[in-house]
Amino acid sequence: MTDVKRIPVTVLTGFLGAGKTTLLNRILSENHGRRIAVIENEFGEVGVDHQLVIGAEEEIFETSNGCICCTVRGDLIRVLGQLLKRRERFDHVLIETTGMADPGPVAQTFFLDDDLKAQFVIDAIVTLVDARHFEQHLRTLKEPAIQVGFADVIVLNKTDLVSEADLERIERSIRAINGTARIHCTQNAALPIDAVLGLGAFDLDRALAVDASFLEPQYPFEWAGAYELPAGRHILRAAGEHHHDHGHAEHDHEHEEHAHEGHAPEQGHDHGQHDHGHHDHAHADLKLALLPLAAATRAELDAQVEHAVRIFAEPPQHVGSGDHLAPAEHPHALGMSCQGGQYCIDIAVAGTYALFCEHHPAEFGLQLALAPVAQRAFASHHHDQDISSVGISDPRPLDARKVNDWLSYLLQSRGEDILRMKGVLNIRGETRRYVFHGVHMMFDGRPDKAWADTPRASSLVFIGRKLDRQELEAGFASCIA
Amino acid sequence: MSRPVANLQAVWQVLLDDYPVDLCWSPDGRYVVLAGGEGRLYRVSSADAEVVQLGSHEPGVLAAAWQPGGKWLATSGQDGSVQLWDGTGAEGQTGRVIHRGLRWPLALAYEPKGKSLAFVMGRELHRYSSDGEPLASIGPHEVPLTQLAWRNATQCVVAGGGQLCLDTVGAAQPIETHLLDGAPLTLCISPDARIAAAGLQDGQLNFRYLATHKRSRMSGYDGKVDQTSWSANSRWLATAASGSGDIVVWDFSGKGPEGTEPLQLRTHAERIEALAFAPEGAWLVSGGRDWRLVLWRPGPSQRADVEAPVDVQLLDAPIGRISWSRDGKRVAVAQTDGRLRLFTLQA
Repeated sequence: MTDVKRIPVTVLTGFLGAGKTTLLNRILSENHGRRIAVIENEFGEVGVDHQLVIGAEEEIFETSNGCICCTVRGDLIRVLGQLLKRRERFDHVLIETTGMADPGPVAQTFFLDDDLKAQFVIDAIVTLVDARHFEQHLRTLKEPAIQVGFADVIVLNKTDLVSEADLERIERSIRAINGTARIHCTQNAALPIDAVLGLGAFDLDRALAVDASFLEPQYPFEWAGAYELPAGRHILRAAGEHHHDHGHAEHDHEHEEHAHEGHAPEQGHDHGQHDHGHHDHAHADLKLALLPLAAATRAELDAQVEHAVRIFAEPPQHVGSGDHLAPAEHPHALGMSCQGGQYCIDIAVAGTYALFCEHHPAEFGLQLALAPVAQRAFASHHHDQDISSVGISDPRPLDARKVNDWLSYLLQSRGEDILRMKGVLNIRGETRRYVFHGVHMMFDGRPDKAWADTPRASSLVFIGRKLDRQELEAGFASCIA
Repeated sequence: MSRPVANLQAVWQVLLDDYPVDLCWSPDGRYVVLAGGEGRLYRVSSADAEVVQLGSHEPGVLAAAWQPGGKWLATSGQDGSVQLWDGTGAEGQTGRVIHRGLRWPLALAYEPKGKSLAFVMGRELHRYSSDGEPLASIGPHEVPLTQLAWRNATQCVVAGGGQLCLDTVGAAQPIETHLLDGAPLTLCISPDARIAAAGLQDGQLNFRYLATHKRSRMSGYDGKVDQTSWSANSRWLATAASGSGDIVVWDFSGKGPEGTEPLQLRTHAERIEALAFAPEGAWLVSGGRDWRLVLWRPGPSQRADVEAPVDVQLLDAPIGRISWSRDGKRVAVAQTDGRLRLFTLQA
């Protein structure tokens, strides 16, 4: 880019009530020595004594080719253009979007508008998530998944209002959408300012920080536990799908509140029914595999992963509540209602056994009387969202031209569906790392620092709609030199 | 007719302490006012370059206009207010706030005779009397408004988002709404009040014949079309876009510019930041990021002649704003470093 030091821009997204304003006021009142200009798309909430708080109505417009990937935000172009007409520069810009905003056009504005591109650089997209309402919003609205998908940082706020099990589940569903964002759990949006500002998440110089487990191959199961089981019958109890702590007094109220806001569920998966006694739920199958283990250790669990994958590939045998199951070379599909179920595990020979579960047991409130001796989680593969992340990591060198062809094709054909992509590439014959990132069809890439002593490997992440891991992996494989 | 001979003669220069956001003349030609990005309002005497800081509209001015035939200077600012100043008064004034809102009043303009002041804020057009009493509002419009121009004593053209509307004094709602092909960055009405031209964000120019509703689109610009200016006789429309230093001039004589090849005035090496036809005669002045101030005279002559600059001056900083005196004999030029220069046209 230009030699001029560009002004970093933080984009703050999140639903109304997620805590954007709290975080913003916290940032503005903290003594951090930065001169921050704030652009608000939601009005009248931030302390007006801050001299650089600007209200601007969100104005989205398409560029002439009519492609949705080329929508930009006219209000930002205008306001930021005006702010440049000062000699005393501010150090940072913070854009607070409306609750329902799509961060796409905001981010694209900084790629597409030459003036802004020359003067500003997105520092990070920060998405606030209201722990208490997130799952409901995720089920009924499309924006939460988009906002989470675009994020570099996710502030999972109001964690004091949910149980630990809820929180764990929410984090997993966030992780399933976005495998690379940093997640901070907070109450009252309390977190150090450095966790939100000055991250350089769009900075190509920064190494790609990806959750390591996310780059693992993805498995048909999310969790495995090793148990020492005496011979005999063991009861496996399940509390039901998406186990909520129904002791929460606010639960019903919460639902009503949202009905009044007009957030009617759009799909057949009607959470409202959940609360009103219709318990014939179609999604309540939980697949699991039960197999013998040589020892109750993590290493032994790891050694049986391939075996478990083979078992999961077999047709499952249905097990209703009250039915029996035993170690087998096929998976068991536990049928259950919203109230869960109980199943009898018959063990003929005392020993060590592994249970591989399609979902994390906490999601179904699944438990044996005995606790697992060892356990591990796997990269999530299964979620209701059509937005997800795919990570690829591979040490083999790539052919520059083939990579170029592949990424160009991908941007043209899948640009609308890809929210974010970033990566570091190991190009054959090139001593330097090639780094890139993109937002929809906007792409920015260049050779970066030398590999030197670091092991050469490509690492790429895609976050988007209807991503096909196999297709992306095949595309990547076609680039190998 | 051969190439015209003329030049811009430097009269004075002063260094002011702000970034020029708007530049305007008093109607009698005695003063030039520079309104700054940090809010400072400087009045400079055209005769002797005496500088008076009238006040400051903090945290920054968005637009400024001097009342035709009067003394009031109106400013709109980043604080969401519209303020009035006594343009002929003393230094150190406090602006009189006549309106305040949450949105930026992005454009303001006096009615051509100075009887009322109009400005846009959010989706509304507001009208005030020249001395600051509220008259009426028109709206809400369907889109947030960013541009405003008076067509005549009773009608304003406003634009924003992808729309252009006609607002008439006395009506509570826009009387006509038309689509634009994109977000307008400029809006100017031909002096004969027939045509509204708008430069758009995405490399297009739209114009609309206000009486017949015929509309045209000129595309192919490199970058945002952010400069437009009509010649006094409404024949020429000079335009420039952010991606190059070229000026494109459309000829509205005869059947109009559709399907014709525009004049291309090429001298600037970088983007043009200011472009203004004189309010009298056919002189055009452009100022660029390349520090050049250029005088042109489009037609009527041989294409090769009119496409060449008449005078080129290299200043000592990028040029931000240009404003002609009402008689078309003097040009005020503001550099982005705060230097204000006055030139006279020697033709």
